[in-house]
Amino acid sequence: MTTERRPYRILLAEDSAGDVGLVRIALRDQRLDHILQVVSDGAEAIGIIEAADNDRNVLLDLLLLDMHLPKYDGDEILERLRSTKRYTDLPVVVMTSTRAPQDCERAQKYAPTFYFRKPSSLDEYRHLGVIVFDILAGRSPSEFAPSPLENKGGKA
Amino acid sequence: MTPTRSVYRDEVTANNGSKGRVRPSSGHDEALLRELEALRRSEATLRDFIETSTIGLHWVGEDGTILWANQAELDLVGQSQEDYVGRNITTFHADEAVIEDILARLRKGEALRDYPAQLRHRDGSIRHVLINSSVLFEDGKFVHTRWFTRDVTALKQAQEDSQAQLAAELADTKLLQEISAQLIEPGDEDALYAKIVDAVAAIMQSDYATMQMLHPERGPHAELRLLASRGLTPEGVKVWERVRFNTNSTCGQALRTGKRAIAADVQTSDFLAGTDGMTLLLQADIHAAQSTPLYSRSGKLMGMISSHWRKAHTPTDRDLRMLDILARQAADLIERKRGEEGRSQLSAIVDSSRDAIYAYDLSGTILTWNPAAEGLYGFSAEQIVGHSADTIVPIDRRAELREIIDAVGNKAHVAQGMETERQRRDGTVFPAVLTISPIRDAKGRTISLSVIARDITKRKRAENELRRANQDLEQFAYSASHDLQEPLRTIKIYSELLTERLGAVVEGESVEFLDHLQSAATRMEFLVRDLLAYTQITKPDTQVEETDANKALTEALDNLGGAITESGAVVTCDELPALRVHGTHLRQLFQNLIGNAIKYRSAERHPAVHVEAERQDGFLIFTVRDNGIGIKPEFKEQIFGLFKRLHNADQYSGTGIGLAICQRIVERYHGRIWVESEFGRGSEFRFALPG
Repeated sequence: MTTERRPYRILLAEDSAGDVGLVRIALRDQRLDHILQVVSDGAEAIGIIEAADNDRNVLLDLLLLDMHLPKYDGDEILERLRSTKRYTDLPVVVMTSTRAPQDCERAQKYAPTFYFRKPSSLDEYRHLGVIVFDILAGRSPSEFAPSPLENKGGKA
Repeated sequence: MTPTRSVYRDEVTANNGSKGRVRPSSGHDEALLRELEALRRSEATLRDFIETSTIGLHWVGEDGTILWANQAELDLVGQSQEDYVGRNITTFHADEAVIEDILARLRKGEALRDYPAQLRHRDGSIRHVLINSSVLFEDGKFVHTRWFTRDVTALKQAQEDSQAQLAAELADTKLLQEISAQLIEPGDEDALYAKIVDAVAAIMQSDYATMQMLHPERGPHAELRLLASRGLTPEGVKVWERVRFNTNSTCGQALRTGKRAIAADVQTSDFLAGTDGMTLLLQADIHAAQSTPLYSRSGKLMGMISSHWRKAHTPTDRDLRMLDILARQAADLIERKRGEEGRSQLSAIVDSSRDAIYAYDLSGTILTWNPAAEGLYGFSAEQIVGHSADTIVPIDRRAELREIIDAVGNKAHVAQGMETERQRRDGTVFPAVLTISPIRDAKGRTISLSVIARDITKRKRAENELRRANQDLEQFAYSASHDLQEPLRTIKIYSELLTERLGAVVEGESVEFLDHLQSAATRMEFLVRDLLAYTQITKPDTQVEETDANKALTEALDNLGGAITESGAVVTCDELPALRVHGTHLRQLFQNLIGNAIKYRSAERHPAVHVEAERQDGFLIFTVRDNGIGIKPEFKEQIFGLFKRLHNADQYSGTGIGLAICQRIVERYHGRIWVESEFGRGSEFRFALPG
């Protein structure tokens, strides 16, 4: 971490307050110098993206995108993003709330950097911070690997 | 018989002229004596010949007095020489007019030839004779008449007998003919039965007669039912109204043997003597009886005709032959009655059917049309019979109709419950279910097709509604369980966060509260997850590929790894087959069933689970056997119900969805799942999948 670098600007498009809180915790845990901007519907998200594209004072380093948003859905936002002048290559983490494969399929053609399936354990959620950190540091993000001690096993 | 006078007279005259009498001549004594001797001998011979002749000979004077008679003549009338000769011939004739005529003719010089007459025998009987007679004239003078009498009584009797027999036969034949004639035309059956019974009595010269019909045609309840009787008393009718297989009677016997039964004397008959049947017969004053079975042309027993006599009686061959002809006709009558009854029963069924029933020939021309068909299609029988079946088939289905006719008509396939569409008179098309069968002629050739049709509009609508409702429900369950996951996940993570943050500061009950919060959230998470899995089983799949059951089992065991290690369970299996099911589904079945086997293990034993498969009737039956706690018989069905649990969460955790998922998977492939268990000893979960 270098002091001369400006804070990373991360846009979170998410309508669930609970998830917003968890994303904040995950990013905070990484002690990552960042500014998180949160929008809760698709129209706002597109507004920010277009503003950043037109105004050099507005910057974007990463998009955390929930595929299900009011007004415009995730794929419409990605469509806009990929047709901008400056942000066609912006790293995107698609956050899917379910194992529904169609969400991933819909996002696939916009080549998101990572698919993050919203987990049901705190540790897994925290791993989102690691992923974001890796992406911003130019590394390929790693999947969550639970520590052996925490594996409770047992299904059915 | 006209006497031929001239011939006789000529002969007689010639006789008299040349060789009749020879007068002695005095000039040749020696020769004369010799001639006399020869003559005497010749006369004696002649006399002996005449006396011993078997033809009656006598002479009668002009006044009718009998002058001489030979023995044969005397025998004929049973008289002695003394009682006969010297009496007037008229005394011995039975018919005075006849003898007067004979004498009158003879007096006129006529010769009689084979003139029929009747002589009165001494014993009072009448002898039929033929008389040949002529007058002996000597020198033109009436000497006496010579009578040759031939006894033709036996002949005449025989002739009369045969005439009577002929007449009887003629009468019988006429009777049979009459019955045949009546059989041809439809008429009052009861009158015909009565006629047949009368004919039986007439032919058999019996006092009683009956006609019975086998009813029903076959089967354990078949019995002979009285159609008509003659001479039987009302009590008799009651007794023999229904004759069963084991009844002691001639008809019972004939029913058992299938052959004519004759009891010439009921009391000595080998099959009646000493039986209750004999007593009944004797009570009805029947001492002899016969029963002749009636066989149809195809050889089926139809009934019986019987005759009964008040005295012991052996029917003659001739009577029985006549009876057989009658039996043939009676059988035809019953067969026809059966046919008519069968037809009217069938047509009543067809007419009253609520399903449309109709028939068309191989060219598709409609032949029959029941009232329900009229109701269904809107065409009356008058409007549609004779027209093409195309009339009731929507235009786009007509090729299908040809195919049906070909399949059912030429290949004799039966189209059972075929779902298609048909068209009403008003042009509306409706979904119909048809059963189409070939109608064959006696030689087995298909001549037409019968169709049973039903409008299934309502059923189709109900099916669609049900399908839609099911889809809606599944969609709802899917969405609900899906959408429930989100808030649940949030609750779970935040409760974790809270525990983490407050773990150090909270104490006592608050820790417990947080625990409850977390475990409830976890439990709900499992519930929602399983429910989601449950709703997803019936989702239509693109393609089902062959799955190696061994592989599915290995995957299941991998997933159960933790539970297996923890419990120390030993899972064994036989070599398993491959089958056409979704790998995920088979894995899920194994995983849930083996998971249960381990979960519900007995504390007293090392858990052991065995998996095997066998092939049976087109199914693969998999068995997952354990030595766990087992299931009480009363729960064997319920355990497959959704959310059904037999234990509380403290004893055994679970969502109550696992077995419901198993059942749903198995049913998806039209298979079955069930459990066999001995409570306290273990369970065998078995599922059958097509393979």
